[in-house]
Amino acid sequence: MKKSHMTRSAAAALAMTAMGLAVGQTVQSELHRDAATRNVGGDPFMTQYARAFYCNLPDDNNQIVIASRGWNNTTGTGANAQYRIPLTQIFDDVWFIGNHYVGQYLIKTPDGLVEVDAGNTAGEMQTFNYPALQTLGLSATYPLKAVFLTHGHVDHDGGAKWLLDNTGARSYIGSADAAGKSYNPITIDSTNLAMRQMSIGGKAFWVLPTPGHTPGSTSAVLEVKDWGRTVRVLMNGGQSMTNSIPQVAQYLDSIERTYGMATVLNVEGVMTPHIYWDGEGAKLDEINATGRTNPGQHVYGHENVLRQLAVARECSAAWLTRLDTTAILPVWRFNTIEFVGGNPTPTKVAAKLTNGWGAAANRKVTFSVGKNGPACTATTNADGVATCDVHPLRPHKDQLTASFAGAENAEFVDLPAEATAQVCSNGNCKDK
Amino acid sequence: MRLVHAMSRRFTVGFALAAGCLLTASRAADASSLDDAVVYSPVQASTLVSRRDLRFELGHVQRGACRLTFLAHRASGAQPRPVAIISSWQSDQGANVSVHRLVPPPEGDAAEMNVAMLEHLYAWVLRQDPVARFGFAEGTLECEPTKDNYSHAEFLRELARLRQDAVARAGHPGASVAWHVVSMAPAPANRASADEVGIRVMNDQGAMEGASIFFNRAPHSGCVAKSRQDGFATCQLVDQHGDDEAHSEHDKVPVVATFPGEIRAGRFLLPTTLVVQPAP
Repeated sequence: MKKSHMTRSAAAALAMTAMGLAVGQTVQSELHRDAATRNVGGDPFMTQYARAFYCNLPDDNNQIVIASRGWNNTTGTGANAQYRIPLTQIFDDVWFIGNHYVGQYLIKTPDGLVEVDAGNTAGEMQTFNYPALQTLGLSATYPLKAVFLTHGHVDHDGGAKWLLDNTGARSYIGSADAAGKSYNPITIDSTNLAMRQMSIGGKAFWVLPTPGHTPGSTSAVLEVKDWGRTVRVLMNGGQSMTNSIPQVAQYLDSIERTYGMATVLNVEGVMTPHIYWDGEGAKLDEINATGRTNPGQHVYGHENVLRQLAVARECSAAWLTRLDTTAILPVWRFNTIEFVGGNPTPTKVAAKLTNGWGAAANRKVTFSVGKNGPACTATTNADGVATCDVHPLRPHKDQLTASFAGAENAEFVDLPAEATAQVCSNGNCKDK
Repeated sequence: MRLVHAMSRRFTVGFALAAGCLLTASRAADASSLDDAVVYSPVQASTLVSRRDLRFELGHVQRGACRLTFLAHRASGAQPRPVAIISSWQSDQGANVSVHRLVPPPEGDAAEMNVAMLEHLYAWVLRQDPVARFGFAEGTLECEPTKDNYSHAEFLRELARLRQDAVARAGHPGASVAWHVVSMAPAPANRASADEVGIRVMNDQGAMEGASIFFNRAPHSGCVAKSRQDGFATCQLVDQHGDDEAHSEHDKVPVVATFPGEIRAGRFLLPTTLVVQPAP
């Protein structure tokens, strides 16, 4: 074997490694915690809920989760009865029932009902969910057709057997959580991590196995109606992490893939069983106090859904790098893009790209009209502004899209961003 | 809608390579039907790796219940060339992992490639199920038991030893960061409470004080403790999800302790784990 001669680049790499060892150990986790905060974008609601709960472990603040479990009232009696939430309509075709810790979603379809999760106990199903299903029309001709179980923990499937025995419905669960279940579920292959569409009780679900919280956790996207408009909503298959490196690594990977799913499916809303996690509990309280808004409270908006997942990703990275201080993970930066000075005009096309770290300089932004219309690409300046000359632009007719395709290096993943606005004659479309 | 290009390296980098090429590169002549295409993506970066300028990638093939993971070096402009093939499978006894090291590829410096392979293997094995059994495979890449039967901690220690040997053989041991093994041993169990957990953490200088130890018990109980002057770290497991009353067989579930790695006085103390079996 040839005797080794260290190249200059190899020596430099080693020197960087030694430096990286010292720096990486303490910085990585804090870097990701800080990124989670920056990715919130100053939104107080997201700070109070998603940022706080997804980062409960790296923040050394698990107390907020433990406190929330005190709300898990399954009987409607006792000191915590105040935390029960009655059957509450959140979309045209979806109702919530449960408590402020965990709940279930009841979905009406033309042929019957579909339920997401099955509560803590048989008693909870008998006392609350079965009457709720009857309220929604449960009958021999309008049956409960299926129960989709996000994962196999008892607060999600504890009432499954009773529910299935008393309605004749079938259940679906990730195969890795199916062992030993008394209710004979149909399994969703947890080893196939690809997103795919399947019919669950006649309702189309895009399912995505997302191991980490449990091996068989399964997330899903489905279409619901919000005041007549079709909206896609995300059901997170399982939240909260453990102290196990492989499980947290899986959890992180699952969140990254969920981000991908939410992006490609243009998800706008959320339906999470643990409603305290992302603030849905507060939204349900609002619905019960003042009614559904239009758009509905559970329509967080596509950007907010993605932003929340970017926060979750950084919280997971923060925890993984606490458990394994040798891991080096790039920071995900959530970007937003907006047109400068209101709507674009035929003579002024400029957009600013920013993220939680400030203006995003030296990034390529493409402006385009539709798929085949005129387009132009420019690079952002130090202020994050890209300016272009797009010809021709027709005021009050064309929709102009500014898009940043994303970028990455060893330290950062700059997430894509996009904004669309109508072209106006003077920057204000009200004045033609 | 535009697909996300940059959300993750896994989404951006990857290309298919016929597995037949892999077999040519390997000595595993008995695995004759690897028809699947292997999609490679860059390994997760790690401070364990001395030569981060050498590009390594991972690819996976699932063959029934057998999962093959290919650790490959990718020279500039070239196809990935596997340097190790790892098989993972479940048996009646639990999860199993065997590592088949291949002859270092001819390009570059073989000795340094060997060091890099072992460093990447350490980082990869650290992320595997600590309750699994581990071993080195020879002559096969099928999911079959090996003569070794290492615990997670034992296998990590063996990889560290092989890496230190490889560094010495590479001819410039002073240029690579020295690795120091940390070991943990169970503390005497408190039979009154299955939730009280403890270990003793030591390195080659004796009991370690101030080491952060993360304890985990399936499905989701955990706690974190700092080791005392005598090296003992103890804490009370807390259910992190809030349904601990639903898991009544806690006293039958092993507890996994994780030391996350640390730099101390310029010494690189390796991350490792310990599986503490419940008291009989």
